[in-house]
Amino acid sequence: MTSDDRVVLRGGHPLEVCHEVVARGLHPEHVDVDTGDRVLPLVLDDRHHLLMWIRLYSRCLAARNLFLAGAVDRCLWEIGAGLIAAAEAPCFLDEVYLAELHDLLRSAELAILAGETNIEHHGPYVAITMAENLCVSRMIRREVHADLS
Amino acid sequence: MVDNEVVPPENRIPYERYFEVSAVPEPGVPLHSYAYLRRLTSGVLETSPVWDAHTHVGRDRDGRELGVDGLLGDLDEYHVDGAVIFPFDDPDQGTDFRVPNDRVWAAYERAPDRLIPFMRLNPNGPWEREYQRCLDRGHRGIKLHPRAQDFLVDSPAARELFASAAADGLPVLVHTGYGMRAVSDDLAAIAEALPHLLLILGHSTFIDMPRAVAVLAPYPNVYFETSVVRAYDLFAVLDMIDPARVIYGSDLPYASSANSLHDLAVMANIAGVDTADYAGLFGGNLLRLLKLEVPGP
Repeated sequence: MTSDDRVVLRGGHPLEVCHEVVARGLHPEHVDVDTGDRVLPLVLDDRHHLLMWIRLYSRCLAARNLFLAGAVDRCLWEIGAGLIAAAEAPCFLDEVYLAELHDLLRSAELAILAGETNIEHHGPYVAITMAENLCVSRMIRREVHADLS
Repeated sequence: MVDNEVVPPENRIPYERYFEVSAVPEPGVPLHSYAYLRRLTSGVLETSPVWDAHTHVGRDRDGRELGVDGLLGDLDEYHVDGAVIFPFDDPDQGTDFRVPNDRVWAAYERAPDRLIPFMRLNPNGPWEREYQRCLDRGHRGIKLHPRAQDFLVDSPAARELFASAAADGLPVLVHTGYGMRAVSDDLAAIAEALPHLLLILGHSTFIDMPRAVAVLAPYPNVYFETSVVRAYDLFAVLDMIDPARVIYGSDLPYASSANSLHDLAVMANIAGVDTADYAGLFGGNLLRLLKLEVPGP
């Protein structure tokens, strides 16, 4: 127990950590995870969680619209910014989702760099749309359960 | 061990807001793996037939291509039993899609137990002879792309084509995604005029969502296919449409089975679709529509 009543759990994998959090009756917002090489909060509070995913969603949205407008250089810039924002997970549990977002954005980036730069190219548009969807599903998750509780 | 279910409601910790243990990946299991998707779909991928209503084989003007080996490889990785296949916007389409339709048939013949061939037609061209040729050969449905082939869904030729399909019991999958003008009113008029027509909306008419679900909900012969639909539009479909009228699709090779299965599973969960309906969403509804046998779990 730390001085501000946070609990530090040791572990490297989300499922094991989540099992322990539930088993010990801990509140997720009061838990830090020590992975061995760094200590991260298990989850972010609502404001930081929402703003992180809004930031990433806005990058995806901008990238898609720039691609459809034919501005592929600007589109690549937005994708690059999204990759930077997704690179450093600010909390333990979002790391796995950020890794998936990274893969989708990288897929779009590679397709564009391989020459899929025209509005008739469907591939980058689809990859970025899938990335958008991941961001939306992360944003809405807490809201859904707030409605139900 | 603290039993969170027996504490007073005001003291209960809302774990589900932060995570569901059943949806947290196991060690070494990435989100895009079959092992993870199997858990996310409550095991439906393992116990029920999974069929994809929207895949392309051949090649596209945009340079993308997909052969039967590549298609089956992706389906195999995610234990998808089979798929509807139809041509891309093929550079060799000519005026009637004869060459791309032959490519689809050749692909089907390599894996007839896993692939369902649709024909692609251009109502602006001499479609009647190609329609009959493909119907006689055994194509099980039709793909239409109003933007790529530059026609209106309520044009006289398209209406004639829809009427033929209704008479012959062939489902028609119409692109209602990117680049289309709002089409839900026109499609509703067609669905009303042809109650025996089985109309599958590729990409779920996202262009005029959420109005489209309200306009098209009354027509039981209209189905919503889920490939490359934005999450909030997919939510609208799953929230407002009978799940028996929602059909899984991927748009391979543009999207992967992994992302497409993942998006449908996550949004079905968020929309509160009963897990008993998942088997229909992921394949049963398509097989029923095509009057194909639905094996039991």
